Amino acid sequence: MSVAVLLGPAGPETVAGEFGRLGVDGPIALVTAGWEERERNDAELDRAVGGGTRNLGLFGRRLDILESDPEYAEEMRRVRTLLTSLREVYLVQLRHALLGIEAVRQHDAGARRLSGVQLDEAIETVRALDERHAARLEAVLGEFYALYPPHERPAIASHRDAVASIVAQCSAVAIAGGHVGVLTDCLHVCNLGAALADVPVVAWSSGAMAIAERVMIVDDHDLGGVPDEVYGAGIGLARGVVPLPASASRLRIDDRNHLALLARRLAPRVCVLLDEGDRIAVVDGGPADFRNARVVGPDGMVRSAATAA
Amino acid sequence: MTATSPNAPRRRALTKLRADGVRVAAIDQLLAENRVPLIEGVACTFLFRGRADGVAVEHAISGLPAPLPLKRLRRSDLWYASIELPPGSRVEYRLLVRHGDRVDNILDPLNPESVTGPASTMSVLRAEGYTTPSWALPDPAVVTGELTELRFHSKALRREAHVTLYSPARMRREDRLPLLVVHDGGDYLKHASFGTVLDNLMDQRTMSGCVVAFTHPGERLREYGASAAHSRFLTAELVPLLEERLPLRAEPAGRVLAGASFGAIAALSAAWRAPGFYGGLLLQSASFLYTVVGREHQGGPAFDPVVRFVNAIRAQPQLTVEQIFLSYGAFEPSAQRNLAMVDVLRRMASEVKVVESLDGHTWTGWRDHLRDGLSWLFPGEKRLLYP
Repeated sequence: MSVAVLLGPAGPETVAGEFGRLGVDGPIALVTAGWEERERNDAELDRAVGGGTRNLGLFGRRLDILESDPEYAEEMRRVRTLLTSLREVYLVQLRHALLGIEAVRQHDAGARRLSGVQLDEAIETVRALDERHAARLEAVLGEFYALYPPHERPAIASHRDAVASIVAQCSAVAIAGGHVGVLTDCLHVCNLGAALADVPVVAWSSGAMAIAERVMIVDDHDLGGVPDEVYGAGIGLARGVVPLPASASRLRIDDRNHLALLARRLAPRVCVLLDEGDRIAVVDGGPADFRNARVVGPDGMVRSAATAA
Repeated sequence: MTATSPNAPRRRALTKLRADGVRVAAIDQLLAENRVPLIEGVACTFLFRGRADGVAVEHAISGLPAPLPLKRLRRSDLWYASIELPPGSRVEYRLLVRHGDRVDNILDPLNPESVTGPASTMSVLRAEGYTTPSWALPDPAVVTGELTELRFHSKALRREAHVTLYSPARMRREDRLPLLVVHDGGDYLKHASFGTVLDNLMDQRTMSGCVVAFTHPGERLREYGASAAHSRFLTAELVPLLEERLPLRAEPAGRVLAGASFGAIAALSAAWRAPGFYGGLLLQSASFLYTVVGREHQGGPAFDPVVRFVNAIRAQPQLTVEQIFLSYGAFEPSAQRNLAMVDVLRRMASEVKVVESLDGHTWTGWRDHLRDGLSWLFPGEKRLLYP
């Protein structure tokens, strides 16, 4: 049985409390790749969980892989450029599709009638766009991994073996937040998902996003005006939920139309708001304990999961 | 004694001075206790103290008398003129002080705040609510990008081309970066703190990493006035050279041209001559001069090719780039022409973003809106960072 606890932004003491609650007694493996160059600044976390942690050093391992396998690095550069281009086109389409939703809403409001099937169709257009983009990303990466199987690249294989070996010697894994893109890249290239099958995991902030199956970036205050976007795939340890950490600062929480759209774009997955103090537990991939979680309903209302159930 | 409500509007300083009696000591006290120009809500009052036969404010605020005459306060040597400015405004000016037939053009002696541009030093009025953006100020904690000089012979320009290249402090090995080419590079670096702005915005991840080529003009008005040779220099020489030497994206979405005033015309005309080659434009206070009837215009000979170019794109706008960012100062004389061109720009790009600043045709005004343009054209990864 695999157990994962997903938290909002959390301090070391909160993280330590979760390991205590899980009854973890033994060394803990740390993933702090989202902190990028500050990956090794983990002393505070180490102290809080009782010392003896093993930092998996995934950020450094990824850099080493790119350094020691120039062919892979060059191809990865090409793929990243392609992914950037795909994202740019997706965002152009998305902006216009979202304007379409707004236009229907405004038209209906002007005509003093409740929005109906046309609004549903406009939302479905955005949903379809999200799904196609997610599929395209998966196809591009799938093709890349088929051409350059990571397990056949000596540099990658040796790091994967090392990571799996360290995790096997640990009683649990802690996955911190930070840069969600860098973090998910590191988890994928080091194949951490495979190593987490039988070990308790506590993941917080963007760490929670990275272990879900879909990574959705929301930031309603983005200076560049980038809309909420499907960013890519996590490692799929937590299925059926889309964690949205730091929602208090990132989401227009009082805009029901906006939240309803978000919930409907991601359905059937459930949008879970993860701020400080929020928590969900996942057992064998599916949510098991939603009691302290807040979820966004298709009507745009935020409810505690217990109420929603 | 009359009780004063705490919510009652404060009497303006000059009103109080008049009411209390215009005495030398009272004027001394007023100047000692207030920054000049006086900023009282939306009221901004220019002051000058001294003997003169006339005093006026030289400025470029569209809609105000130019120059703006100051009046002398009766029985004193204090001169004043009040205008209303919306909160957040910023104005550059100088004073014209007349003694007989002689007119001295001076910085405001009562205002220590000034800014030096390519042509002159100006006094600065900061209306209520205007603050210098923190991202435009050097931050010792931020690792700065590297500036290197590049010189090569340009066949198109028939001269040695000089480019200052900015490479970001943070470059991931697996990344290919977009390229931004900036006209009037030296002035942008010196007078609009462009390097500092790049350092800060990239450090905050407000904009993505990018390589920036700051170009230095030769004969500026000729090269930037919608010149075909300058466009060839950019599209056939500079960009290919940089894409060959540096880890750049080397595709339309990764090529952006920028410029202010004539530099904006140079950027737009280069993109127009190579539709689909560039992905974005960052235009600031473009020197859009055009004619509706005939060809006569007030811009002088340097504007002839600009007028021909702007007339051409107004007549037949063609899809040129994906994104155009345009900012202009609400107070500058060309504000209306910039606004009038927005509809044309919308037909030249898939997306257009327009920002109006409460400033004039100034380098500081252009600096203050760099973040809007750069974060939109080069979205950063800040949204990917979680606590």
